[in-house]
Amino acid sequence: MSSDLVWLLTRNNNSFLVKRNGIQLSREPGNLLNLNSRKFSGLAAKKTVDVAAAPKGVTVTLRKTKAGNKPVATANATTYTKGTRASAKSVRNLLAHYRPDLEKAALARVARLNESAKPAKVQKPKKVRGVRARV
Amino acid sequence: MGQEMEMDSAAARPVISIWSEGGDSVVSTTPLPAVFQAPIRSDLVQDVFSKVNKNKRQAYAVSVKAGHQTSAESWGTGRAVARIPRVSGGGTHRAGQAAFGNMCRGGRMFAPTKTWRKWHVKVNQNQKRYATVSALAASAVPSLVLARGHKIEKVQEIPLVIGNGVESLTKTKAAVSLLKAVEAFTDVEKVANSKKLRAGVGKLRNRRHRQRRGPLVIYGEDQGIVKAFRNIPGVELANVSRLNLLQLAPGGHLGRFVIWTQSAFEQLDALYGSVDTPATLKKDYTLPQPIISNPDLPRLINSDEIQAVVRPAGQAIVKRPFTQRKNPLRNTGVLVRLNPYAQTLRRREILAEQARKEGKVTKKKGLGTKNKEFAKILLSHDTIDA
Repeated sequence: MSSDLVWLLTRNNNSFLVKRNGIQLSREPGNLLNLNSRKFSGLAAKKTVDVAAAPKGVTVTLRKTKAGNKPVATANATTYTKGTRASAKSVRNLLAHYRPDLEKAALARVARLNESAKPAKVQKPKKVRGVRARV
Repeated sequence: MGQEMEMDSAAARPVISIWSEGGDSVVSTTPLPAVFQAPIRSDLVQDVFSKVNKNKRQAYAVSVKAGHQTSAESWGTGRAVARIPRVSGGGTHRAGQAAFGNMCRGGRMFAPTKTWRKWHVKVNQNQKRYATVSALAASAVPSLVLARGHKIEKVQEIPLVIGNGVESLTKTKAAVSLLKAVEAFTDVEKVANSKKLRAGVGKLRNRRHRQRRGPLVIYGEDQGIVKAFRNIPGVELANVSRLNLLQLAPGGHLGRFVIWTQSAFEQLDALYGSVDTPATLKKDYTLPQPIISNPDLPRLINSDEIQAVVRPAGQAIVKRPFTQRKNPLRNTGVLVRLNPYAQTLRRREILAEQARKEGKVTKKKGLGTKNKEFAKILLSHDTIDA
């Protein structure tokens, strides 16, 4: 099945499209920027890259091109638990020959997911000064 | 090249596995019926769907008497009221009120609906068949099935074909365990979780809930399979010889998740034939042919035939060779690049400034000394006379 044809069949109507607050987004797995575009579509492309949060670290899933019509066999998942910089390096190597055009978007997603996994910063209680300190 | 591409598209899915009723092993394989290579025409499917969808409607209309059950007559002119018919008599509030008109309270509606509206739409048989065939072809493309919203991520293979034993299942319990075994039950769960109370008055008209659609089970012969599956949320059943576009592409959206029984799957070639062999169970029917044999755009562009005739790529057009445009009046570097003498001028200016500060040079007064003669002539009164 040609990916160009799948794109034409899914671009205007699919179950993952979200149109809200004046923007059109698409939330299918394998869409790195969640944009409804030919380049980022997780449905149309033969090769897709999915970056998702894992219990620890991030899971990068590539679609196998030769699995064809076997949905369960299409996923090729790797989990990186070694922090943003080190996993970014691995992801860069992973995508170098697979989808070099998606590198920037994939790395951004890896970094953002790692960042969000960190515990939230605890704000120190403000030191009281001036009049309040004397009371 | 055309032949090569056709071979390629036909070779993409030559055989399909037939899964056991346990769902865990492949019993045998079968060649992919030609229907699944039919062109996918979403425009045509939508059009045929919207027409076929109308054919199940029941007639409705307002009562023919509504708004006319009064003997109202116009009062004519001269009574300082509108000339609309008014209810006659007295003793009740209704008397003297306007009647009949669509703008009147208690009047008839505008253009009252009639039961003899044209409820049904005829669709050409070949169009209906084209739409069915398109919907079948789309049901074999995992991307399109996913795009329709079916949960098929864990399913072994699309199209999913299960051995004939499934047709003689009689218990829903067995049907559920089969769906679980082939990982199709996620889609049923999606349906069950989606059940919501319908908005609007349809609630009171036997359409109380609305929910998603689940898998469509297509069988060859009913030996209990219908009763086994029909009570599972979202699951629908269809006999392969009576396929319906309303089920194959609900809402006109392609890519229904279809579970085939082996016997249904193997009848498809007899039912639809192929591009060159007519269908045996239909009269004079062959599958529609795609207009282009290869819709793979990059492959077309990179083919030898097209590459042989295109002009070689010219130099890339650089939109902005510089990072940012600089104003030469403000930026000295850019100014000097445009006007090398500007540097000399500026240098002299600085030196003169320095000298002035040190008091070395006094400002020249009046005209230069060189043209003393000229100044004399210029300022003399003789020049006016002469």
